[in-house]
Amino acid sequence: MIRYVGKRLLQMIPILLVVAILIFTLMQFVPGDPVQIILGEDATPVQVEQVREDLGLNEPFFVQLLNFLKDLLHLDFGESYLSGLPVRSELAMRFPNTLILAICCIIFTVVIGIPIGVQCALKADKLIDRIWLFFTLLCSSMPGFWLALLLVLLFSVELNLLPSNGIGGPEYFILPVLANSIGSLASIARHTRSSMLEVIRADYISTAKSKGISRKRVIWRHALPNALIPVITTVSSSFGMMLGGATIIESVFSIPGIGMFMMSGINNRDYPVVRGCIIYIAFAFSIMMLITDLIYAFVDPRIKAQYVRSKSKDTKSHESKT
Amino acid sequence: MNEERNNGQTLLSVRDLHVHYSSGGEMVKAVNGVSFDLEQGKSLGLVGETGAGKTTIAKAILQILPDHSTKLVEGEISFKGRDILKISEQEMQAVRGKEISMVFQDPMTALNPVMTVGDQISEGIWRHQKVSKAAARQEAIKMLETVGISRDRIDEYPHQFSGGMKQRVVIAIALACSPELLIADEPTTALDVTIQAQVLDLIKELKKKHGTSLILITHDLGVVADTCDRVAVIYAGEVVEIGSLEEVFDHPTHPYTIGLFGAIPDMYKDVNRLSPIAGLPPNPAALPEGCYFAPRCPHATERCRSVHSGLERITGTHFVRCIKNQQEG
Repeated sequence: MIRYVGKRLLQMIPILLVVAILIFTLMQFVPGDPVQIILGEDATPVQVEQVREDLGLNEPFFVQLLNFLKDLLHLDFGESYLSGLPVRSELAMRFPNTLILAICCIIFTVVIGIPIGVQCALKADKLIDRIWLFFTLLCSSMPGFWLALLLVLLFSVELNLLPSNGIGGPEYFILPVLANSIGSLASIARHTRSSMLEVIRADYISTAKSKGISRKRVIWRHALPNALIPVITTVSSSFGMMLGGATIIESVFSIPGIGMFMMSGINNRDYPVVRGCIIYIAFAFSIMMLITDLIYAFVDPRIKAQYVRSKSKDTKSHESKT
Repeated sequence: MNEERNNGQTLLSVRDLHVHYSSGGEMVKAVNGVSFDLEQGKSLGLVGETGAGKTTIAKAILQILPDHSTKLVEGEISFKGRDILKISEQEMQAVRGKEISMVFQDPMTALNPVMTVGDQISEGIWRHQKVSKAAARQEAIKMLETVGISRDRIDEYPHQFSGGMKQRVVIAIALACSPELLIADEPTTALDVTIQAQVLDLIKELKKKHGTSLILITHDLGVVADTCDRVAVIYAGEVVEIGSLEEVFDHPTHPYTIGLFGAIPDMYKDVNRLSPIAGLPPNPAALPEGCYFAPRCPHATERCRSVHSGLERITGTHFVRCIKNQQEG
């Protein structure tokens, strides 16, 4: 298992390298000049030239790329053009906000979404199921920012119950979490429902029932773990996305997280910030996928067997003999 | 214990059982008025083609029919004098696994892939015998050894077992609480021939040891001859012929039963071709008016197509559902 994790971590290096080169190259084609934005409209050509020289923007493309990659090897994303602060420390500063938001969202999604899906499957085609189906379809097709604005209108403007932006106590996170997770919650509920429906028709559920164990145990102990296997992927990829920062939600609620950092980086043509954010997102996502695979192995012994097989060939061959 | 159970008392009595499903908006009449009795310690074979309603009968007895599609379960299933169709789900849970249990058709899919076989066997023991988990595990190990699997495989998962081994595990689960009635739904169909014999021998041996009564569902007449005391031939959700093994095998009377015997090879006869029964079983969503077998029956008359015959006694405990037979008798 440890060898497998190590292998996967090593595999991430080329992935991140490719992402880095791609994003660096793409940024070269983005219209707009960071120097103009730094200096403002009425900068003289001499000043512009001076700043270009200072930032190394006059170097040939490949020299710039190599410099960037060289810094990257030292985990150095460069300094923000605008603030002059190292991107790495800016990311580290913003990361906790994004992380808290993502964790709250995923917990909310899983704790509410999966039970809804299970209930729907158990009451399949009954009225309650149809109501939830309609409702979840509505929620998953609603754009997050629009929902965010509606929530702000209702809870902050009309009822004056919750703060509309910024960060502070836990109450500041309620609306962003709601707005950010309703969509994924709805799709996870739907996914759980369909997966559960498949599983409760399986023969081993009949076997479980025929043992005389309670309905509850049949559902939660036998059906759910099997039904969750495909749902795990959906959950973890939404979590990966959320870790990358909910760009729009963070902007709506002015949460200083990774998403908003990247947004401002893009607006200001602050190349190092954009690159740093993208590489961080790629990294977060790869780590999430690795964790997903490990969860798979934990939940499904058939998958675990694939990882372990290469490690313990001798015991396997012994088993096949017996 | 064996003596107690072998005293010829009726253990299970099914009367006029009807089961309807809904499927794609159609009402599927899977079981249409099935009645039979099973004495303690005896075994009954339910024989019939795929789709005749055999598995539905079994699942109706255990009341594990799928909730979402089952529209009607009617009749009387009395087990040890108690109509188990009328008792609550709670009470039924105490019957399932403890007094009646079932071996399913396909061992490949009958075991939960994410639970160890040990957990799957001990679950029922723990549920019914109210013992600690550790004691249930010990019991499960014993059970595993009873069905011929070594004890150190207790913590393995189903995917680590072969088909025949899985069926042994399924049998171990079913027999874990020494039920009085075992329903085996085509226990050997999914297995290859050598394993089939092993599994059947195992069932017979355990049946003898524990005095368990058995309902064996199969389409294999050879298996019935080998294992059962009584035979019920099921066609389109009803019993068309029922009797003791000798009565049915020596004097098959219903044209369908005769057809079934014609479709198996006989070692002592020199036949070039087997004679299969022509046609297909009727669509259970649109059953014919008269005898359900009439469209395929070589002897069918006009009357057969309009009159639905009842089950009539010919000799002893031998009953047949055919008007031809009534006219003669």
